[in-house]
Amino acid sequence: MAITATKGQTGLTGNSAVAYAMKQINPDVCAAYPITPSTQIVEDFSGYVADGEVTTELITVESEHSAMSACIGAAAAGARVMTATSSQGLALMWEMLYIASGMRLPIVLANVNRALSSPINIHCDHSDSMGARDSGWVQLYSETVQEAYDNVFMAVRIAEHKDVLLPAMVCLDGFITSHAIENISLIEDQEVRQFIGSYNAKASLLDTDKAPTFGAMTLPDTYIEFKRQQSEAMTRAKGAAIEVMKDFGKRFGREYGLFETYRLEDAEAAIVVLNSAAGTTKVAVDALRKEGKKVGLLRPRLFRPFPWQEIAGALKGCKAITVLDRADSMNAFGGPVFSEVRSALYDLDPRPRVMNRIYGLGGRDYKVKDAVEVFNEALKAAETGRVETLVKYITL
Amino acid sequence: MATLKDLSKQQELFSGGHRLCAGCGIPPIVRLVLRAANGPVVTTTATEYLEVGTTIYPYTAWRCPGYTRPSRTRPRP
Amino acid sequence: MVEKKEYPLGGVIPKGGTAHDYSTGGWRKLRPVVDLDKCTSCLICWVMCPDSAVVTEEGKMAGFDLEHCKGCGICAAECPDKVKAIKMVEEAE
Ligand code: SF4
Ligand code: SF4
Repeated sequence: MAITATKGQTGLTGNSAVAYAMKQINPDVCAAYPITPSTQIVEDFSGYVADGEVTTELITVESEHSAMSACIGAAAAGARVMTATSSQGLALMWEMLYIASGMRLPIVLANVNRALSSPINIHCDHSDSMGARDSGWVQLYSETVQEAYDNVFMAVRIAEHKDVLLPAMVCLDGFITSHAIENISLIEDQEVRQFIGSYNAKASLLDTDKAPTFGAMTLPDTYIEFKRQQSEAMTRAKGAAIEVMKDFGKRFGREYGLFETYRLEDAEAAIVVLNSAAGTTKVAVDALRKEGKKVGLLRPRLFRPFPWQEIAGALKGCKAITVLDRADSMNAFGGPVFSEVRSALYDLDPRPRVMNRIYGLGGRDYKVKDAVEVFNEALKAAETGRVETLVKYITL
Repeated sequence: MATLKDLSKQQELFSGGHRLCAGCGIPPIVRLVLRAANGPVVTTTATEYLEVGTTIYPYTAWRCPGYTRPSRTRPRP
Repeated sequence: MVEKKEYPLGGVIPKGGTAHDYSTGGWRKLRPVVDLDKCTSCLICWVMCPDSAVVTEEGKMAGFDLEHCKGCGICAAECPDKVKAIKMVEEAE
């Protein structure tokens, strides 16, 4: 797709918007293997490469494992590196995800969320990126095409931030966001360049004078120190994210935070949900507010690192909270967002009731009526102080 | 063709002090390969005992830059 | 104990060849001894040593780096039959 206008509104799918953001970033290297529903990102981007619109070295590889391996090699050499994938592709990268973060390489990956097999399914849920939540990558989630586009730039800045130097993943909902056309505002190329700046790696694999060794063996006398170093970088990523989002808002007028709240201030019952389902939930919030019901929403944007103090602060006025998970931890105790939000709220006094509903797996629709039902159940728990069912599947 | 005499005057890119077993057969091969390469060398090797034994932090036997990759990045037949 | 701030980013060993500072000479049970009068400086022992422990000077065999030699005896075994300039002796002797 040829995109000429960079001012005003342009109709783009989530995938095209991410690919266009990559074109504007013009990374040194992109190693990727296409997979539904993120295929179009790589397809569009390879078009930009073929047309000479970027100077990126595009490495076409035989698998996602190889894609991430090539990304790591290039990043170790000091390159700015980007890639995109989904579902099984991310799963095949698993081993390498930990190596990218352990080696402190600020690779940026767009993950178009799709369910994991088996059974096979190509539609949206978050089991792919949730499975990678402990791999040491910064994770940003996006509700809309505009936000996915904007997040790509912010991810580059956060990942390469001198206090961070960790890889970052931008997540958007498969098909729902990746394939829906939305009118979005594009940023001018020059503004992009000014915002992201240039990247200078601390060490390079091509430095034959110093001859550094990457991927060295560490024994029990040093391994834990490197892990602590990595963990501290992840802790600092929150501050870096706040700084980058503020700068983004100042430059481009679109304000982002660690999470988004919607009519949460005086809410008694709240839903916590990631990505596109927040849009549906907001419609339900408005409908219930019209009936005088005090409901609101919190949508985490930065999930890794998990800003637990801030989330607890925003939810402290609520009496009941339902966390919606588009992934099941298969621990017989709910989904991953639930576990973390509930844990974040443990120190609140009074402590709100917290429930979990698993919804929308494998692309099952989540409708306004589903959100209304969840809210009504939460309002009941807020009133009685009792939770009838802690964890259950909805949208069945 | 270079003689052993000539080669012995080149910089040794693989140092002693690594932790491979006494009499290990791999280092002589590596040393020869590194000598055969003309110009700047960067190595990349998939994890096995060669890498494990020669890159025990903070000691590396390699005098050229190198990257030890996970085993799965090794080409398969 | 190494101070925290001294750990380089991401486990990178910033400089090459640091293993040279690690002594493996203590692994040795047998020590190679060369008879330089017999030696023809063919340098086969130098090629075959796994520990880069055969020292050469100006293209000639000049002895052993005993900080790193592990006493494997490969040099002695590989020295051509007609020469056999290297003997392995008990380190204790
Ligand atoms: S004994 Fe083994 S380690 Fe020592 S110099 Fe001979 S070949 Fe090298
Ligand atoms: S192999 Fe024997 S003859 Fe050749 S250099 Fe070594 S000690 Fe000398």
